[in-house]
Amino acid sequence: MPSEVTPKVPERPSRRKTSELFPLSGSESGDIKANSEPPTPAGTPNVPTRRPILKAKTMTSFESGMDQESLPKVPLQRPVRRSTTEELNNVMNNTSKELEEIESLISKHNIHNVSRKKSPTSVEEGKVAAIHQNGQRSASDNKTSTNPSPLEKNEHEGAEGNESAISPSNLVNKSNNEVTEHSDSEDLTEKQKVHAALDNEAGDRSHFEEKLIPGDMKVQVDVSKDVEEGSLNALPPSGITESDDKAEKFTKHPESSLEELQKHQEQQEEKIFQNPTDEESTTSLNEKQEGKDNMEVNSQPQGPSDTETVIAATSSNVPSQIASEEENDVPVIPRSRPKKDFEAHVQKEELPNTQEKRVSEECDSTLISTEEESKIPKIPSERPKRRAPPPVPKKPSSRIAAFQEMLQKQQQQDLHNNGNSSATTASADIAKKHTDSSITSDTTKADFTSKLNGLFALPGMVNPGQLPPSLEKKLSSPDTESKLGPQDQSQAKTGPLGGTRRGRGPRGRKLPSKVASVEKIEEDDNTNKIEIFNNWNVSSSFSKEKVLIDTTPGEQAERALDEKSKSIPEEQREQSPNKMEAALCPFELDEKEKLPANAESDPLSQLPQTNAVGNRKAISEESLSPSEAIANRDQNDTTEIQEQQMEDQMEVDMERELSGGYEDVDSALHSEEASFHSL
Amino acid sequence: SDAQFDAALDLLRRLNPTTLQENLNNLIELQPNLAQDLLSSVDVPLSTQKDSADSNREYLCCDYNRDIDSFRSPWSNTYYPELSPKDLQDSPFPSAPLRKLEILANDSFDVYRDLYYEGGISSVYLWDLNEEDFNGHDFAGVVLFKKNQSDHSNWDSIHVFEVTTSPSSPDSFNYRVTTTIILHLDKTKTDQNSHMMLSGNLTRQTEKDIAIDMSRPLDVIFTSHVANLGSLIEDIESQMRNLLETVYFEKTRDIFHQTKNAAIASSAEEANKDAQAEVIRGLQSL
Repeated sequence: MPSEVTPKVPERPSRRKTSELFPLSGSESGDIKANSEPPTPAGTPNVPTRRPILKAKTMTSFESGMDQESLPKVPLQRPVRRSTTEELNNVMNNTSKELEEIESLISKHNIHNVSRKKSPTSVEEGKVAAIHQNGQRSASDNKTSTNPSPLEKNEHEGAEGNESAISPSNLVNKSNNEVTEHSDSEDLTEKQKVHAALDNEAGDRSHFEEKLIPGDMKVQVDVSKDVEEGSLNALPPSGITESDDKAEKFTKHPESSLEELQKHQEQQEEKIFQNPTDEESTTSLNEKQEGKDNMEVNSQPQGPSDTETVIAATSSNVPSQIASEEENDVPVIPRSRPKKDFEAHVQKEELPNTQEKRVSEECDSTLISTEEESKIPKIPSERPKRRAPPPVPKKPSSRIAAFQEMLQKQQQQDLHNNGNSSATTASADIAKKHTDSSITSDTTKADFTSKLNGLFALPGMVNPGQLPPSLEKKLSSPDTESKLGPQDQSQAKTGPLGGTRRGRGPRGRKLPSKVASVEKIEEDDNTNKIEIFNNWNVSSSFSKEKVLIDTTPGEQAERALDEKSKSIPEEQREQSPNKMEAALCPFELDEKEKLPANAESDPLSQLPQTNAVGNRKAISEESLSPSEAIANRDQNDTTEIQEQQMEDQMEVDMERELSGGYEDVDSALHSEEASFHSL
Repeated sequence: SDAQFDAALDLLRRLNPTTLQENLNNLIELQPNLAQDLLSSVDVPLSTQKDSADSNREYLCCDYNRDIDSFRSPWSNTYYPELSPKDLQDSPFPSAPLRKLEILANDSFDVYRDLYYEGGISSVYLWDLNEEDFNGHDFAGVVLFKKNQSDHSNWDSIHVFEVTTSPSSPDSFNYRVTTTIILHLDKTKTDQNSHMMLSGNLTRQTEKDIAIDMSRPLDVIFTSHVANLGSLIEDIESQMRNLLETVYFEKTRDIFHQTKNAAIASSAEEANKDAQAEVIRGLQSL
């Protein structure tokens, strides 16, 4: 165990060495810190650069025109600022000019900016007061070292020194705490004295701060030196600042109390070194103290003890400080980035330090209240500028809608073009027919097909009558175009044969013999017409002589018909004409065939024939039907007999005429011929 | 009458193209008064004859160079078989200047035929539209191409054109070309079962106005006419060939494959139909 303890002891000087390196390297600790800061973790290096600016702001706002050096480029000046406090003051003065200009500009825009610039000082003062109160209240005042308030940045500048120096100071505190833990009533009284002194000093600080802050850096460094060296000698009253609460206990106390503390420490160290057996106890005490330190440090964001933790703590504090600085340093920043500032506040609130939160909330509440008042009216003026440039990405649905609109436009254009250009072609007609039919059949279908103009091969899209564009180009042959000029050429319209027929061949041609020999046979109408006319009579002759003498053949026929009609019952009489006609049709046809041959002859000459036939018919019809009568007429010999009788009668008549009626033979012969013809 | 003529054309359009000549004769027998119109309107596969006066050079025969049963040769401008002197007096012949144009056109289109068909026969026949003397316009003609790949397969192009003065502008001429392509493909009957025949015709009409400077000499005007007609016919033929290839043959091919693979494709076809219906439904919902 002692072997384990012994290595710890040399570690302490190593810690001190690391912390002492900064003060020991040169009288100007600010330079060393600035130079030593870059190796620290990321985020820390910027911290010291801005603190002086912040101070400069605040200070220059009250202390105007400290220096007249004009450094055009700020970044070049920043290292210069840290090199010496004077240069820092110069820089602050320079920045004060710029700030004044900015203030003037801002004041034009907004009056609140002025209050904003002035407010930090008051806020800082409030912070400082709060810090001191906290520092007085509890032993965890060290936490206030991490407060992000602008004035505490001074602490952190020192804190980087101080916090690097915290460990030695903590060692001192450890020893002190050990002493107090070992129930030294004197220590308590001393502490009370120290606190009382701090209280007194705190009241004075408000007076000192504004004037002495530039010199604080030196004082702080000196204090840290003193603490690190463990000398803890009396400090000049001017060097007492609000920054180091830790160091305040040792540095800002009255000299007597400090000396007592130093004595206690020395005594304890002597005890430790003199009594190695007590090392365990001391180590245990040290461990306790370390635990306390850890508690103290744990109150800070990062882990236990040592410079690393302190540095980490500072680094963790840096963003909040930067944020607080950004809030107060440059009034331009809130203009351009109002949200980020607000986010910085949020980040600040997120920091683990509760006290920081308390203080920061107090500070931020005021800051935010002031800033919001000043920023809110600015935001709407700048937001549209930022949001305008990025185009709002369109939704896919809108793209589809645009696509559909495009298709509809194309379709309309095509329709117009077709209607104007190729309305005469049959292809356009076909397309119109397609569209019309589709419209009449289904309007939605038509819309659908119209939307899919050219996308898919739909039935009817292949328009055989329409030339492809390539062919249309070809059709307008370049030679003829070059010769004749394009204005004289009209595009060829191709399509299936419409109403226009192609030209006939040359005139005067004759048809081929095969075709010419063809004669069109027009068939007669097949319509059979039945005509009914009375061209025959039926008569019954009682006596030959009487009939021949008294009556003419026509009269005989009429008589016969009358008699027949009398003999036939009335019912039969109504039906009989049809039957008779039907039966006599063939006869009628036969008569017609004979008629053209005898057309020239005297129609009256036919009467005896008809009468004779009619007589025969009438006789036969009495007992037979007409068809049977006709059949009997052809078969019976009665007709021949009757004919013979008729001939005989005629001869008799002729002889009588010849004998009595005619004188000359010629006349008689002539009369015979006439009578013969009459037959 | 026109109704009868249209009915006859509709009938011929629907009848078997391989028996077009027979059907035409039958229709003429039915209605002899339509013979002239039908013969001049219905294109039948071109026949060939030999011009004995010109080294038995073949020429194409159609209704436009026919008189009675004889066909006029474009090479010797004579009818073969020879007509009787009495018939020959009434036979149509182009006027002298038009005959010059006809010779030029024949020579030109023979070159065209050689370039595009790499064989075959071409003939051009012209006739006057006006009974007056030919004045460089208002004439008509027919350009014929025929190529036989085999005894049964042939390509017949019949371009009947009319060149008239454009009513819109006096300096321009209206070329109206009515083109008919008769294609007949007949696979040789090596196997009775594998006999396949494809036949059909395609008729399109193209109209174009082209200006020609009539102040130039007649020869130049002739050349312009021939050049215009040549370019026009060239484009029409290529277009119609593309139509045949891309539309008709492809459609025939689809039918052929669909018929052959009907059993196999039935299920796939149904699936395709369903998928297509889904796609169309989705597109309609857009």
